[in-house]
Amino acid sequence: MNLSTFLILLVLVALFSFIIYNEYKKRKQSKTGCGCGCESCALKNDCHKKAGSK
Amino acid sequence: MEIKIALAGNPNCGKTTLFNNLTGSNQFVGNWPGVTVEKKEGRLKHNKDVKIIDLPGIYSLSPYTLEEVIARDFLIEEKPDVIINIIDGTNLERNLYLTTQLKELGIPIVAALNMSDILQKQNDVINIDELSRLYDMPVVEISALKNIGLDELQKTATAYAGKKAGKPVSFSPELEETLSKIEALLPATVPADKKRWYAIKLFERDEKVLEKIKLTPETSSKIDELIEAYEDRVDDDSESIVTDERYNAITSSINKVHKKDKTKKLSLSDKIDRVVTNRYLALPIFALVMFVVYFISVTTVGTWTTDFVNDGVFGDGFFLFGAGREHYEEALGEYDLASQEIEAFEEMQASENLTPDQLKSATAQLDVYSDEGELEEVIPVDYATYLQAQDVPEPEPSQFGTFVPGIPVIVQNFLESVDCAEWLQGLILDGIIGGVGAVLGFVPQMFVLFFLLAFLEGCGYMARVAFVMDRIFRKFGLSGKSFIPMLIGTGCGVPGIMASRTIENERDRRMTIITTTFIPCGAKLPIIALIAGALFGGAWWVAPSAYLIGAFSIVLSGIILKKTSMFSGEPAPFVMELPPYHLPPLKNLLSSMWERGYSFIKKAGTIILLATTLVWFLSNFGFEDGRFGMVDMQQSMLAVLGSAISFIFIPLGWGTWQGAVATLTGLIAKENVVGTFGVLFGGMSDVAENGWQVWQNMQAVFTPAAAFSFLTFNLLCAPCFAAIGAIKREMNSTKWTLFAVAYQCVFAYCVSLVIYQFGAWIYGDGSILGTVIAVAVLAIAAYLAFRPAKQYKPMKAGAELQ
Repeated sequence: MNLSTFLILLVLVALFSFIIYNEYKKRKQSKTGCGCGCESCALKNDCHKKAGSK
Repeated sequence: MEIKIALAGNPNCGKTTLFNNLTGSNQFVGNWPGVTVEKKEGRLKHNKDVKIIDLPGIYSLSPYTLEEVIARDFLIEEKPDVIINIIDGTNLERNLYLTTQLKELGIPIVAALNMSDILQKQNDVINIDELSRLYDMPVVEISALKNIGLDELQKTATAYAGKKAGKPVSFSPELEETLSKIEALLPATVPADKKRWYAIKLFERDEKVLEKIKLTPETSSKIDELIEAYEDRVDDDSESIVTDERYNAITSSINKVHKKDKTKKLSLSDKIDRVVTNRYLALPIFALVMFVVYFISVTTVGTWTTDFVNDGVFGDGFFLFGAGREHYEEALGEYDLASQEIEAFEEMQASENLTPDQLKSATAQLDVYSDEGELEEVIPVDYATYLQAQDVPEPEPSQFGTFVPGIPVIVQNFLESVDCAEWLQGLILDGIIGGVGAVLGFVPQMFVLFFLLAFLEGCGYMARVAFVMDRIFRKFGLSGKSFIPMLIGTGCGVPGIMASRTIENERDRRMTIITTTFIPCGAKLPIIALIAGALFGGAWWVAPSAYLIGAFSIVLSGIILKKTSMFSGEPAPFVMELPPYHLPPLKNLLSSMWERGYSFIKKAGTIILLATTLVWFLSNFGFEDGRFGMVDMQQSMLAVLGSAISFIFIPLGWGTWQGAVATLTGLIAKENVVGTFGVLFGGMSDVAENGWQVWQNMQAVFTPAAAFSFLTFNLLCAPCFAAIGAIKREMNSTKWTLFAVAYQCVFAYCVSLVIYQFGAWIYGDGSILGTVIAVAVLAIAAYLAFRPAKQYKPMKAGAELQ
């Protein structure tokens, strides 16, 4: 594996890790982590309850 | 110090529009009840110390609907500093009914008299000062839609917050006397400012308040005696007595404040409604409107923009502002023809083994095909033509104008220049750009669809459709309330499923949840557009037919399910008001379109990107000769997995591993079906392009009948995981959720099977056995739809699935 391949791979791994971490964090913060695209939905709080709430 | 302001008002009085304008939010605004089923919070745009809570639309503070319970619990428990009571000026009497109840809560109220602009148009006059004096509360005239009077409303509400509440509306002296006696019997735990409200609720025998307040048996019997005595005196039940008293007070006040234009004739809205909601014309008009919406979105405007994104941004590139494109395409056409002539001549030379002398007098034949793959022309290619063709240079786009290369070209050039490994080039170009680009390519069509749907919602037409549908649904034992989730579901199935909460009848609610996702949501649009473009040459009827299949499935499922003992019963009554037609502000339409469309772009950059990368990995790696590594796609892990389940779909005409895998990945998000094809068929920009050569990629796997069956199955089968999660939450039962998913999959399978087996005859590859099975399926469906309905039995414990 040459250096450029290694660096590009590293960028991709960082990008994937960032996406996964971000989705996880959003879910924890009661934002939409499901990817259902319901962020403007009036009922989203019901789907994505805040952590710790019933 | 934080100020808490609650927005309360009737459904469809403009609360959410006002909330959005006050807070700068972009909450979904709908023209039908049920858009706000739970409360929403935001902060005032220019004063973050002010919290604004948008409560669900309610007609009263009675405990009969979920919205009413949510709203009144909030008002009693959370004690906002002030209530902004939005009153629809065009329906003053009904709106003031809620006002009379809010006044009893002991919370300061500021009335926002909305739709003042419409009142002016109708030449109606409301005496604001008199209204304010009669109800002992400040009244501000506003138009939430046109942003009129909102500054004054904010100032008045914040100034009035925490102040002493105005006097409640007075009833007759006899009722007031009884209420005073009940107030005196209330326990000391009831706050002084809430005593009147509790007294009235106890007088009305509100069970929820009775449970909450926990009276001693002695007090309870004393209150009962007071109520019964009063009921005997006026010969009516206590709840009706209070209602009558409220309306008496309202009628007397309206006579003093409201001057109607008596010369008024039929309004424009009424005239339009005479046609649009006509008994016979309503349904054809609706079908025509939806046809036009999908036709414009997928076949015309949407296609032009999508072609640009697919062929330009995610293809070879594009000419800036289109300058030079025509000349380039002309030159490219000449070059392509010359290349084909060379190829045809050299093929003839090779096959007939001609000598150089013989070549000079030989003539080859070039078959020219149309975009649809039909033979268009036969061109003779002689030696002179062959020599001329060799002199035609390959055109360089940059010579014809400012050419911007497409993303794959830029990335490929970069990767090659840095000597990136081929497998990583494959991952980036075929996996990431091919997959994500496939989905993003269809975003313009989604934007057009969302804009048109927002227009239909905003102008008031969709509210009429719900009304029209109620009349039709009722004939099949369904309620028009089931149509509202279907309307909302055209954007995203999740809020559609949630909107079923407005249906009080548990059986109808469950049935609506099961059928809502049959209507194509925005995420299914790319699948429709892909199949329409690649397999049907962009035929005009494919996209509207997808919507009609969804609507038909809802009606058929409704009829079939209603005849089972699990769902039988009278449909719930459906009451909704029809807002006057108006031209929705462009800002609202663009905002609604952007909010819905942007989430798809974000999803493409996150969930779809991860999914298509995984699909690329699984479709390029596998075991060969006992070693794990890059293999031919047919030997990949994905091919093995897809092949293992593909037999299930053989009767549907697409029993290939690609189709099976795309359907599975569609469960993550429906756009993934397209993303997966983008990876598996290598470069979706080509597939979406209008050329029969590249359509062969998909035509090799799907016949048109199989493709339509695939489209139908993916439209109707289990929705994405997010929507299944919403079903689970709303059903509150794993067994009901499994039933819903199983029903959707079986129904989708049956419809797709019938479509394929009959459709196959049109394309000349029908089978006798398959047709017999399809006829049997149709016969069973007809029996289930036309058999007598089961007797309605009230549900008993243990009789349900859960």
